[in-house]
Amino acid sequence: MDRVFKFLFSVPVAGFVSIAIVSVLTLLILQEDSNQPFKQHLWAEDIISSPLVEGSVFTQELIIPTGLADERFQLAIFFGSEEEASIGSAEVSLTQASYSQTHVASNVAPHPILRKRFEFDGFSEALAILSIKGMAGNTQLAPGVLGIENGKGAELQGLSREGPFYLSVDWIKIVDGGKKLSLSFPNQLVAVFWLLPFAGLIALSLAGMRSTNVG
Amino acid sequence: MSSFRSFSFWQLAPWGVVVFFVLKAIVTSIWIVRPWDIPDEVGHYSYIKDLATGKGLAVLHETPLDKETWKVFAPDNPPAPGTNWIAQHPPFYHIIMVPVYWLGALFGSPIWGAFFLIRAVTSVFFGLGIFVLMKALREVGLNSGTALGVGIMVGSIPNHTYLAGGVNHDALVFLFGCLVLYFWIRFSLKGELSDLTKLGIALGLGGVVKYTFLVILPPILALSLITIWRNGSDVLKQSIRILLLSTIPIGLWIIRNLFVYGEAMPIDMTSFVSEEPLNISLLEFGRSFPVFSILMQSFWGLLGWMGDGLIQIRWLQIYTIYQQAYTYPLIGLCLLTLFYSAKNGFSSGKRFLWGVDRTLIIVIVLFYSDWLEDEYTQYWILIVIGTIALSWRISDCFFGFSIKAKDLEGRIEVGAISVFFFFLCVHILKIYSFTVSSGELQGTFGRYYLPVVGFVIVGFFAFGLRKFPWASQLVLGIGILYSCVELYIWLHEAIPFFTVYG
Repeated sequence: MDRVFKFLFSVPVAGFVSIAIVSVLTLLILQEDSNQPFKQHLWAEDIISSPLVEGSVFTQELIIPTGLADERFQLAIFFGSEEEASIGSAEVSLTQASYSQTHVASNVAPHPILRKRFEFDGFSEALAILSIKGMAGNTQLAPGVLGIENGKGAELQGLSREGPFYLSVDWIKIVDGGKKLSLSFPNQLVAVFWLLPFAGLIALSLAGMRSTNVG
Repeated sequence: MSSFRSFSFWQLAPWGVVVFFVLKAIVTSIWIVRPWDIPDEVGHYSYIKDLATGKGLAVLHETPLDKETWKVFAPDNPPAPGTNWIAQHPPFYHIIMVPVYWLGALFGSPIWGAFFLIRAVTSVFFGLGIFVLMKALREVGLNSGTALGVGIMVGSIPNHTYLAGGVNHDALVFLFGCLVLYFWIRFSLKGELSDLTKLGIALGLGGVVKYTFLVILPPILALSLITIWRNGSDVLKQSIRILLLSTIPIGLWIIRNLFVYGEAMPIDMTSFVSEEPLNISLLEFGRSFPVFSILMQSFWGLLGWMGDGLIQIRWLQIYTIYQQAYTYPLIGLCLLTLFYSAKNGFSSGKRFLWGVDRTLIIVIVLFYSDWLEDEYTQYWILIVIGTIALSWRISDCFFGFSIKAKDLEGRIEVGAISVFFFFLCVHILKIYSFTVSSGELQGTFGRYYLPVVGFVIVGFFAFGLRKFPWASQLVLGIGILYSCVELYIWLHEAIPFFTVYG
């Protein structure tokens, strides 16, 4: 038993196991995309639009930011309601010339605010129209969207309320999992060189575990 | 099992931790963390460059940031650079970096060769700090495996890897904090004059790296003077020695400041002044902001600064799930200290009661103050368990002192706790005053605690780890967890964060 224990926590075995741990962990992490906030809405005093009742359509012009053009990205829209029983569905579309992508958000129930993210890709760095449509079955209890009064650029169109209203949106960049290492490191050798210390520290931990005075 | 590691393994393993940590920090600082993405980097670099190019010490509110550096820092913002706010700091880190600047400037472009070499050398300071910390833990009776595990834990915190590879004095502050801990422990245990001298030098030099460091000066001096007095030989001579060594460097800096500014320690208050200051008491302040949670979460990982070139700060606060992976093991270590403190009390009813009643009083005061109201769940648990463990441990130590039990490690642990609490109180008062004057929460960065990281470890965890027979396995296991979580954070969050505008 003592020999087995000595072997398991020997420096070569600890080194091999730690390299395996780091390799597997790295491969698993590289399978996952990462979402990084790119441009966030102004944290001014929020106001809620009129409800997205059936047939209502809110539209707003947005400019696809540099850095997200021709990339996968998410657009986060804030739904809000002051009613506790608020629930409804919305169709969210982004259109640029003849190119359009649509998502449906079902059973949106903000109490009082809910951020929903919608993924888009293939848009160029130019003007696009975001439209949010209240779907069939939405009543006066349907949620509205969150915005601010003191914004810049185009206002949200289609509201039944008066006064300026600029939609609050967050832009989120989707970083392809497989590209993460190549984004930072010039080549694979440097990436391996960076991963090595993690394996080294784990190996030292494993090898150090052999020290014990417990019988 | 009697399979101990060889002596040479324990000699080499701490250096292995240093090498791996420094390697990790250097590669991270060159290829992942963009220039100017570490707090105040542009100011520190400009300060060093001014010294290296013969312009002398920067003067607060007068010396502008270096123009060439500014052009690289903000390529799309042609306005003239503002004044260098880093001029408020004492210059020891920047003076050390002057030859590094000269050497680095020989390679690559005038800015980048020096910039990245300074980052690399700074990471060596942090690595050496971890090494000294491990040595200090050995001095308080932790076994080699446990000290190694704690070193790996400290080296696997994302904020440390990130800060280590920066043009920033925090790594040097950490190194001097660990040196002070090490020499203070040695002097307290052995009473040797050479350790006292080294302690004085470390205190003195640390004080001219960053003013924050000076906060540990009064409690360490007080504790050292008590030790000198208890030892009873050469009391006056030794007292004068430590006082002079620790205060001469900062004294010289104060004299310079008095000549230049007419003030002893002027600091840049421009961002702490508001037309709408808060009108709240210290108690209300504690109830209004989750100060401890913000400090803790930024201690684990608050990455980013102004690397985008847009002159806007952009932070990545690591998410709650990762913070939990770092925090819950600490709660476990606090519980270990609590368990063994309570177990000590089982030896006599009086000793047990001594622990219980004082702990209860402190916990009741803590809850009654409502200071924990807004703290986040995991940190709330950490504060409560930590407070109970500490109160019990301190009570138990004082019971030991009252019956004149020889417990040198206990004295050191109580001393370390007192250094940390003094630091904490001064910092909380500073945060409070800045928050009141600026109208919003200010100065809540976990990195400010780098000088006392070692004191926290000794004060909170050393007792439990010394008693627990499987401590090294436990701590090394936590080290593995921390390493894996750190890898996950860098790969999944931090690399995308730093490249998102690329």
